[in-house]
Amino acid sequence: MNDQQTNNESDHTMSKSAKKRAKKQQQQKRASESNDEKNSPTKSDAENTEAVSTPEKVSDSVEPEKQDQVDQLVPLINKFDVNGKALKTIAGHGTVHLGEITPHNILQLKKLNEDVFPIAYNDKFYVEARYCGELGRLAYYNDVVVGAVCCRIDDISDEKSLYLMTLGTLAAYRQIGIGTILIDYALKLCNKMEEIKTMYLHVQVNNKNAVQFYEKHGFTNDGIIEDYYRISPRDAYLLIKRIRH
Amino acid sequence: MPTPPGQSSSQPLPAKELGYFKKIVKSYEQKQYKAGLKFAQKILTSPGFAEHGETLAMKGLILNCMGKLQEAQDCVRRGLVSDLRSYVCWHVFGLIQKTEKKYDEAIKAYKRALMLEKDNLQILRDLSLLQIHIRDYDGYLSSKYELLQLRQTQRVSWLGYIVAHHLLKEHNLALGIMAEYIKNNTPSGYDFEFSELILYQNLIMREAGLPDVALQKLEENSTHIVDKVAYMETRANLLMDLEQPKQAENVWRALIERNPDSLEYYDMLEKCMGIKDSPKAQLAMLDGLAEKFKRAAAPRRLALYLVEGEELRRRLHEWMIPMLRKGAPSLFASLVPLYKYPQKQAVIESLITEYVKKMDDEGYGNVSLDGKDQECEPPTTALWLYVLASHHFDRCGMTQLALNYIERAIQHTPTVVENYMLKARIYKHAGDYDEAARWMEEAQSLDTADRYINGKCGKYLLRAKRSDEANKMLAKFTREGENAASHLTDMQCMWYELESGRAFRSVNKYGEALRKAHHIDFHFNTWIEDQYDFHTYCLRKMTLCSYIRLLRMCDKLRDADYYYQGAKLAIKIYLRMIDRPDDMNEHSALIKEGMTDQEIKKMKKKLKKQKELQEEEEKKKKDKEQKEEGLQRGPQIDAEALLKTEDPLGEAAKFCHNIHTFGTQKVTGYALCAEVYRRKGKVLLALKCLNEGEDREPTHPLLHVQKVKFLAYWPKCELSGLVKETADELMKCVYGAERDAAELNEKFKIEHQHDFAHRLAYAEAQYSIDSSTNLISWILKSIEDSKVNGRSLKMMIKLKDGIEYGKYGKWSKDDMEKLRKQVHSLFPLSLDFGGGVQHKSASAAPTSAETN
Repeated sequence: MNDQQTNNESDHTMSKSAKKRAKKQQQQKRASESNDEKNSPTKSDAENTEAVSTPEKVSDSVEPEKQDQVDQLVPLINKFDVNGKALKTIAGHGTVHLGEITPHNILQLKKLNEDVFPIAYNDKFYVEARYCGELGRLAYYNDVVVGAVCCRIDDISDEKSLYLMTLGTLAAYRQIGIGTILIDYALKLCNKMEEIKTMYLHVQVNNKNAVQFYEKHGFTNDGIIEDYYRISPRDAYLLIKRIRH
Repeated sequence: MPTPPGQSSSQPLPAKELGYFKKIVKSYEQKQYKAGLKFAQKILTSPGFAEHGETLAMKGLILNCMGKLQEAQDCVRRGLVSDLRSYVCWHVFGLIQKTEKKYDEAIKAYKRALMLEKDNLQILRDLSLLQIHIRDYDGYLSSKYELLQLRQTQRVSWLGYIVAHHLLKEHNLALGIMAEYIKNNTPSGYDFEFSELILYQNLIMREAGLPDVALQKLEENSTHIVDKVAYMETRANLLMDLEQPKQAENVWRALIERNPDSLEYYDMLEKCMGIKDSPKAQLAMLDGLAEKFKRAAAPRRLALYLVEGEELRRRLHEWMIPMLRKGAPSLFASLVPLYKYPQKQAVIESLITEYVKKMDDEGYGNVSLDGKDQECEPPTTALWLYVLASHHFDRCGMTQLALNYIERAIQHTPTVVENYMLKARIYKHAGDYDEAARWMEEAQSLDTADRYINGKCGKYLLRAKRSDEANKMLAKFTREGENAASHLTDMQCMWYELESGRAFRSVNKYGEALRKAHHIDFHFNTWIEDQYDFHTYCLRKMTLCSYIRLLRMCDKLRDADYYYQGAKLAIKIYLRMIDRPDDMNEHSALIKEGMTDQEIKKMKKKLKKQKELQEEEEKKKKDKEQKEEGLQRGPQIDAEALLKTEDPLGEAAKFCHNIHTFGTQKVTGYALCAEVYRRKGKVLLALKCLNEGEDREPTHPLLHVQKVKFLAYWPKCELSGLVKETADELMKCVYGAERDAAELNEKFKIEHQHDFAHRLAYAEAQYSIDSSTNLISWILKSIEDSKVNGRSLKMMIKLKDGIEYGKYGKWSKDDMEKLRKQVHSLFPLSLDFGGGVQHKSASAAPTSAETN
């Protein structure tokens, strides 16, 4: 149907607007200006103390997968504690695979984000996410959408950088390795795109689990950005990982 | 020596024109219709040949293929008139009659053509096809005989001749010819077609009542049969016919090994083990097989239906846990058969609540439902458990609990489409169609690439009487730039025709609703027409067993449920035309409700404008269709014309004919037919239907109403002779010695006083024999009487519709309000009784009982 057509068209407009947004991002830190620029990968309410953190053990089993395979099927067998220690075996044959974000399932992403993040993303975010291509992925656990990652490419002082807009897993599906699969996906993306030099993201300062999670995946805490969020606490950490020089 | 076309004795063409004529024939065969017409024009404009019969016939034939039916008819007729001695003209005349579906006329024309041109192969073939199509087996046999005489070397001639004998049940002749044919044509190696032939031979043998011969032949030829499953199934059945259950059992077991999830095999296995009546033995057999086939679901599932109590609980536990972990969509469906028994239902409920409690107590991150310490449930188990609980309570009619659980499921995993679908379904069952549609739209929005959910959404919108929005929704998957409704009609989409028809009925657009019902009838016709091509195809491809099955299926195609539902819709509207002619004005309901004159004027104006707009649109559509080379697709049925029928009862009877002739299992179908035939004064047919219904479910409430009505009518029948004898006979079958309608009804009341549907039937019957009856307070009391079973929302809506129809006497406004309040307290979400989810926004106008 004509989806194909619109797909291509919007793809162009998307990349243009992405550039525009990237420029805006360069002058950064006037972050309170528009709501959608503010991202927190995790929820801040009580439940989310366990956030997205996941151990590397599972990611080991991900590594041997072919790099370009979009739909990787990963069996998840263990349940972990916050520090990544295996606690129990998961009964059944649960598997995770990643799927594209498309105009057809975009509202599933929205439902997910509304549940995971304390802030609401505006329509623009979803309009662009519809055609984000490989910059976004949904994580399916036993064929159910339970997590997602969305990135965009920014220019920071003449360097291309992958900005992690959102990465999150539904509360009930944490600590089984889904966050790790998603961050691994983003890191692989960086490795594949040679122009990308760094990867970075913001985390609300009270979200210790998220910070711990990203540090475990090689990010370094680059300090506080004040008043990044409109919700309390308003400050964010900037986490950066250098991919290549 | 056959006469070549264009050389008929009466109008021979000279050389030049004859050349043109040959070119016409060639163009026709190559489908170059425009060129064909040009050559025809050349002959027709030459002096003396303006009315050349065969040229006119060919021209007509070409026009027919181009879709210009009327012009084609005229041309062919003119041709025939000018050259009655030409077989070409008669043949073409027959072909045209065939496209008009006038089969008898076509056969006559073919026969005339054959009289003029004996042994013309093409005409003989066309004739035989039509004969089998209308099931003229004798005619088919003789045509096939002629064809065989003319073409003895052709395989198809032999096969046709064999099939003809088979269909005439001349099994021995069929088998004799078959044996002769096989003797001369046995292939050496792999041959699919020969394999089919062997299986067909076997089919005839079985139908001839020769299972021993059949088995022997089957074994002899076993190496030739490539369809191993068919071979084994046939063998097993033959062994059973020959009463060798032990051997048959082995074959069924071998088949189960091939496919351990075929329910039919288990059924047959039980039969030949002789354990149909012994649940214990069945259970042992199933358990044995379950042990052997670890991954097979069928033996485990079938076992669930045989046990109860603790044993059921244990087995359900084993059955449900893996499915909950997997998220198997069929879990609830597999439990549905258990809901017939309240005790089994209770077992399910106790298991579900136990699981939920365990989840709540131990936290769904750690819990293991089968109590293994080292394991925990995958997170999806909780989700699917809540979904199952929601299904369960919805099934039990506990709407609030069902909603609570689906809410928990949504909270747990808000991204799952099925959650919202189930939520919609719960609201649908509770009678709030608006809220149901709302949630189904939500579900649809989450996955717009899924046609199933799109269709569901369309259906729910239709239930909410929002036809236009439904069409818009469905248009997402239909051809672009075309009305979804006409596309779905093109696609013969039956559920749509039915739901859309019911939606029109619910807003008093009876014409449109009738049109949809007629579409269903039209589709069935089309399917029966569609078999025409298979008469040649199957013989050529040798798939003869399937061909015979196809013929037999077509013979009772209208026995299908969709046909019944469509026919019911139509018949009830036709009856309404007679009973309540004012209803047919679609706006009558709008005007009645105490509006001021001004308002009525305003509304009429608005309606007029709407109608004009609609007509304009339709005109545009028609213009567009005409542009498409005047080809008319699909059924051309006009809603207005349907409403203007002179003989609604006759129209209804046409549908009835198709309901009862195929021996439907539906007792309600016979009841409906009895009503129509009684009104038509067709005593014997009415009695026959009552009798058939009596055989199936003698105490069915709808059948009872018809029995009372007919008994009240019986004394008025004036019959004589054979008709009277037969009627008396049938009366005895249906009523025994009972001849008093009122007594019959009273007896029924006492026998079934604890059933709501039966109480309503009693009331309806009572009002029909005595209009002064007053049962209003009795009915109202029944609604609240906890001793009365089956007080479902469905029945309440039937009651309300019945009151509006006038089946239950005259209800005052107060009575109606009482009814509304009572039902409302039972079913607070039902829109029909003033309930439903209240939305704060002003746009969602509350629906009250009055506006319905």
